[in-house]
Amino acid sequence: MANDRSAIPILVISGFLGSGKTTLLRNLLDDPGAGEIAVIVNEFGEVGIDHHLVRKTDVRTTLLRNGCVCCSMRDDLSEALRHLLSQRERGTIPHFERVVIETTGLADPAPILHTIVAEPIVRNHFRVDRVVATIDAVSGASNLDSYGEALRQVAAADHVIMTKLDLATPGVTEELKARLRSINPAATVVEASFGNIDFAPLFGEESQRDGVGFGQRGEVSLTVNGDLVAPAAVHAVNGRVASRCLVFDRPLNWQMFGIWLTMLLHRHGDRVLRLKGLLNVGEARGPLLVEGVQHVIHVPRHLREWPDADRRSRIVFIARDLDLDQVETSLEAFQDLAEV
Amino acid sequence: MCVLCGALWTEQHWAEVAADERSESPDGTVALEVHVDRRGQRLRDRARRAQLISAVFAGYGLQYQDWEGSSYIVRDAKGNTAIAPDLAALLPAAEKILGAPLDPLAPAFLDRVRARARTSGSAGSNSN
Repeated sequence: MANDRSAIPILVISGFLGSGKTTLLRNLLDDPGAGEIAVIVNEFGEVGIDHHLVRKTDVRTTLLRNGCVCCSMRDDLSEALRHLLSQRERGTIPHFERVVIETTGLADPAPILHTIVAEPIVRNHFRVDRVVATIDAVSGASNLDSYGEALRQVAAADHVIMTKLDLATPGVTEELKARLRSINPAATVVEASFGNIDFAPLFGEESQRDGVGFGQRGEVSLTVNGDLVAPAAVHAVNGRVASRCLVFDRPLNWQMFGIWLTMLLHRHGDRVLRLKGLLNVGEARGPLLVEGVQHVIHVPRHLREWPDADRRSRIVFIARDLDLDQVETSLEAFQDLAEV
Repeated sequence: MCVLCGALWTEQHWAEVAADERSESPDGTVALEVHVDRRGQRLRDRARRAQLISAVFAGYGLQYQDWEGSSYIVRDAKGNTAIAPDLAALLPAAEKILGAPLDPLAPAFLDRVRARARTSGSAGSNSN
């Protein structure tokens, strides 16, 4: 089995229709720090114009047939990744160091992540390095109001990239930024005009370490703009989505946590848009990192050390139509049962 | 693959993988002594998990049994039985027997869990 160091990193770029994914991808491929990249794109709609734009960059591009990378197309994605790997190993295409998957604007990221972390062959050769979501500064707010896909993309992201800032007023931009942070306090919000951003954080060597990415992030922020997220603050978005950081003073029983979370996701997984936690499981070493998108949970791992002096377990939940007070109560009750 | 029952399992549930079980070597291999050492820990983890699942399932009136460290068996008081390879498959199997969803947020269920935590001297007294 490939470990985190030898597995090929995958950058997933999601974002709603017209939010600037392809512009971002083109600029990213031109970035000198990007290295050798293989690209997997979708064709959605009659023209497949995204495909042609990407082809001009002359990189190794695989086009997924039959539409979007969603539940029904996971086989295509795993097939595309296995084909890329096979070609690389046989030397029929130039060597590549990482893969970028550009999803369709209507794609839910969870099935894509599930394919990468669960498909038996793919998971042994690839790892999800980062999940990036683009959001249009002009129409992003209305997309979040109207489309669950846009919301799920933001919730699943490690980095949310605000695009088309040159077309939006500063007031609209700040309002959207605040809203993004309330939806996903664990993500970093990056600003971009014409797709120009500093790509170093997306490709930095830090991603090889404890640092960042799906199943890799070493920090779970307890604050947003200096305000404590947990435990009393609840951010209601669209009247339905809430994010909150649950904090537990006592060490958690890991076995019972696994049982509890499995039961929670089995019953309510489609409503848990994202969770990310650093757990104190009563060991002297670093925290246990748990991260998931909907039903998809990355295999937990120990980090080398805590990111700060706080040794309390903290878990950021982003959920839709779910009572996070009851989630906390439930976890407490399960933990009580483990201690008797 | 299990040579006795012929079942082919390619998945391992995330909650059943120890966080430090991943190989650190570049080719992903694990030294024999490390593997043997982890095997013991895996069995101890599984036994403890069995106790805890039993304690939780008691809140639904279900009994749970770990079968040879390789499968989960769940049954009700009528003798209805189901077998599942891992934790994820266990839950739908238990729901099928129960005829109702397992909801860890349901207040009535949490009341039973709390009551058991208060009164039980040892979690998982129904296991095995």
